[in-house]
Amino acid sequence: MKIPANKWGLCTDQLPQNENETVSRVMSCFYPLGFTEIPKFMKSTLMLCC
Amino acid sequence: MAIPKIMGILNVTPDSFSDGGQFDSTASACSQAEALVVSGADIIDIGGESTRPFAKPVTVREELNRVIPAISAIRSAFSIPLSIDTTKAEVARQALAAGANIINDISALRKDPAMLPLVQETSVPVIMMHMQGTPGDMQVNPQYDDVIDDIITFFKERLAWLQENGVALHRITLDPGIGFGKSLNHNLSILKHLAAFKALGCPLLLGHSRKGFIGDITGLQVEDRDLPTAVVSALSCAAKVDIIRVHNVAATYQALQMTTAIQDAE
Repeated sequence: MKIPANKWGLCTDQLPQNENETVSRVMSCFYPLGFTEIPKFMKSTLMLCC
Repeated sequence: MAIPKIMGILNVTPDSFSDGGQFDSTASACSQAEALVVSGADIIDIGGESTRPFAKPVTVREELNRVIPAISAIRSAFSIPLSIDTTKAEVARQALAAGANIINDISALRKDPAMLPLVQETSVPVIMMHMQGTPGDMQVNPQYDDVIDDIITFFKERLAWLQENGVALHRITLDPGIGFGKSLNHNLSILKHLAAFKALGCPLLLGHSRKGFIGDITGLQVEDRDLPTAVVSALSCAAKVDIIRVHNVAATYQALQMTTAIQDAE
């Protein structure tokens, strides 16, 4: 279960077409809660998605 | 409007007030983590020391033995942010190394002097909670001049201190600490005036799940308090609370779905 929550910007059927947009979308979910970067566990998921 | 993030509680302790002893093996902790994720949790908050009233403190070694195996196992299985609920810097440090992503300190970095250097050398979000007294004595006649003003003053002082020490305030989430050195009326005032805390400019976390003030009003036992907990969660949406920390994630998620749907209606 590597992608449990689309609430973190990783809804698999709506992913942007390129990595920059995907990273931007995911970071927009994490930034308001005090994250200064995408957590490591999510980076590996992003690589799989892009 | 966005649904607040739901933080599912996972206490790997033998003595927490609601779920103590249920998830104190790695296997049971992992199983509960999966249940929380499936129910709609956005974050899992893992704690190895009970903070219920009159709880006895545990050693660093004991707390590490409880939380690190659970964090390692959950991190390898789930792509979900994990917060470490601790007041001890060494526990937080090893938890981050094991895969935790957020520090949740109910002492607001006051208990362990080594917590500030850890926060300074990392870049993770930090949750600071207001508490009057300690878990050992906090519910012995708590007193405030004005509970809202006093908590806001406390948060302002803590935020100024962090800023002086080079910590970006963007990383800080505030928790007014329902049930931590508060009477029934104090807790109700906090819930009524949540928006006042949002004015400080930081994300706001609410931790009210199954707590004693709900039992005081409803007469319900701890295990029967999920419905009133969900009602409070729903009402807190109006104050734009950012994170809601609960035991029953499914009930809270349903309550928040309904609340935000109504708020988004024309």
